[in-house]
Amino acid sequence: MYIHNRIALFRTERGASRRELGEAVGVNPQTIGFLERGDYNPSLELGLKLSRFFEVPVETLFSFDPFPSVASILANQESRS
Amino acid sequence: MIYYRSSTSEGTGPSLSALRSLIATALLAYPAGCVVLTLSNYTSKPSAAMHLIGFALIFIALLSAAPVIGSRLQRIVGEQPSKLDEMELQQRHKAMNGAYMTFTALFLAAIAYAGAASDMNLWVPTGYENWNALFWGVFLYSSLLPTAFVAWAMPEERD
Repeated sequence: MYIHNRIALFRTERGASRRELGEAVGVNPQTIGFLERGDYNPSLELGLKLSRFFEVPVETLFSFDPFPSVASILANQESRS
Repeated sequence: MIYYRSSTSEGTGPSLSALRSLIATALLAYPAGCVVLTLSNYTSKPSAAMHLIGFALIFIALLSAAPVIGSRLQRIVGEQPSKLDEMELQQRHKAMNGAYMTFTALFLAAIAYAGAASDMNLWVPTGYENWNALFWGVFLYSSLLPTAFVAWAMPEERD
């Protein structure tokens, strides 16, 4: 089953490079690239390490369903206010 | 039997498609060169051109294998497991499985041929030259087959 993730979004927001994130969670920077593009599904251990690095619950980072885009989230927020 | 020369540079090396081409060239050119050399000895008049083509193919195979030996793909199959991450270990495991199956099939085919050759009076390796070529062929295949599986299973590189 395909697992969607927001690793690229959170990494960019943190201003961390793939190398820095890779070193923090103990994987190769290339593996971070494969994770971000959805070419590789991480183990439970790596998923938990990533969620700990970004200080978010694991389900904020990974989902079976596609995540809404940031633009659509902002649009929804603005239409509510 | 995996041979890996640890890279001393931080560079990314050849692209994935270039590595695939190099591996395919090495794995195809070596046996082709050996076949051409063997055929050249079976002709009534040994042909210098066929000898030259045979050696050229073997030389091309070795030239193609050289950049692969220190590449990031060979690292996945040859590096110490403690220095690989979980994705690389998974890739290694799958590649070793595939290479083992292929190598076993090739070995079985070779044994079947040897059995048939003795009955049908076909060519069989004899002498130093033939066995030397076979030894280095087995060395090349055992080193590069797992790498070939990693190369073709690895997702395409994108930005």
